[in-house]
Amino acid sequence: MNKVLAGLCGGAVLFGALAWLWAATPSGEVADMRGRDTITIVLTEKGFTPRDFTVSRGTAVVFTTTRGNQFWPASNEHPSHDLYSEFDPKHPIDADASWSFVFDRSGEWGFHDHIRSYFTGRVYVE
Amino acid sequence: MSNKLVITGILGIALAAPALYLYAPVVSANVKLHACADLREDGEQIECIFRVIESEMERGGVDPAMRVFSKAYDDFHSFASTGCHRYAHRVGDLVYYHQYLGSDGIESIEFPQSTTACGYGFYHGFLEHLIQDNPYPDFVTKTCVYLTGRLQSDMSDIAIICYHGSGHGFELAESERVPRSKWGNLHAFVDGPLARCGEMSEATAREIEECRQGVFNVIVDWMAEKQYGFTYNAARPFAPCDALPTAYVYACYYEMAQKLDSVSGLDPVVIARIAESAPTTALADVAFRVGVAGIIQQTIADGKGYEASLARCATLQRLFFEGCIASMISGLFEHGPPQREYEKPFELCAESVVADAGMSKECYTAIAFRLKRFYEPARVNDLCKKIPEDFRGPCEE
Repeated sequence: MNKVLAGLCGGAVLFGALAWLWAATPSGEVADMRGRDTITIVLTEKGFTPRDFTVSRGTAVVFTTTRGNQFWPASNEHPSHDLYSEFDPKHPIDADASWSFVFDRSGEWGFHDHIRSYFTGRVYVE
Repeated sequence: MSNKLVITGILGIALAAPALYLYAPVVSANVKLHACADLREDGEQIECIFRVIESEMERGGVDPAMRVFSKAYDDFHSFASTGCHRYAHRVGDLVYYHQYLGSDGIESIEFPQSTTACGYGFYHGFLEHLIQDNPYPDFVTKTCVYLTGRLQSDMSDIAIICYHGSGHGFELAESERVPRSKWGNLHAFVDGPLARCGEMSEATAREIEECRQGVFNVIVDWMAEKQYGFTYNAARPFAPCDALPTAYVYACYYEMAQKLDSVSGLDPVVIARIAESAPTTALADVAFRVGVAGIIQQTIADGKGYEASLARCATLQRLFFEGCIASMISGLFEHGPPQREYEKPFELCAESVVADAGMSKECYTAIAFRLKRFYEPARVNDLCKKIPEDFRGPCEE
């Protein structure tokens, strides 16, 4: 009887651990773009591409768009942009223009398009 | 290993599988949310919370996302302390991005009762982008008629919320057309959207007014953030409104009053003084009432959320005190915990200062009028029974 109970418990715990691991695993991909002086992030119809990315401190990130609309990349939170207040061009960028920002603060910085705040992304600065 | 042990192990997995499949993600979300408490800065906590909300939305849709939202409201002071409406907006943004774009349409999206939370902020967020991307009166009419037909029995204010969110959307769309040379020019930004509000063929007068308020709501937010050339006039908040055509003045006053908390030291007596400068009684009344409700947004997470305001309101003349009570009740509902918004309003009405002033009827009446906005009919019936019988009338209409 003890062996039966041990077997039942062991099986349940093993499955629980596997289920937990599955649920806990982050689903999004983070593009590794470290080691480059300059990278480009493009706002497409599907959002920022890549959406989540890692860069080295001091990297210049150039934001452009293929949507044909103005855009305004800026730090969270919307609409105050106060988590990383320098990460804000303070005005819309024309559809055929770009905006460059040098990330010189380490950390994890959520950002969005201020004009269409449903387009979001996250930059990890190391 | 004996065969018996292996077999019982497999049986254990089979027996535990359904429960663990259902509950492991929920437990996992709670664990991730709990980890957000380790972050010291409020902004970092909020970002952390929204990572969990977004993850739950991607996994299971709106309902689990709103469950995390509700739990965050209860567990994190930073989430409720400056008003949860903007965070509800953000959930609406997420649903628009993850579920609406690329979908078969709004019909495929679930709208659980919890989406009424924080003054229907979810709908403001979702609809402002839907209409920003489709800024046409006919499209707004079609959308609002659809949502009203689908949701109104459980969410009594969905129609006016839809038109209000559409006003947001018209204004956001307009902002992309106004050249930088016209930044700070109110007419350049609002004339087009306000005209569009008036073109909606099936909207009632109230709904058109809500659309106009939605337009001005966006402008006032830009003023507060000093964007698009706008600044909030702390000395004379209503000056921009006084220069508008008569039809738009009330909506402008309503929205300008939302920011009076920032220039009043969170004091209803100061708000009463500011409101008295309005040119008509109706405008003074709306400025005062909306201003007081705005104070509650800033104080709701501290203690009972209303003590200081109630004490100051009690020093005012009866007419102002009555308006104060109604506004505090409104503010407590608008910014209260999802699906438990009624708790603090009932506490307020039970305060001795309310009864001593002979204001119990006004207080409970204000609660009665709010219930249908947030709760489905069966719940409204139950909550009505908590109102003293003498004051229950409006609840039972």
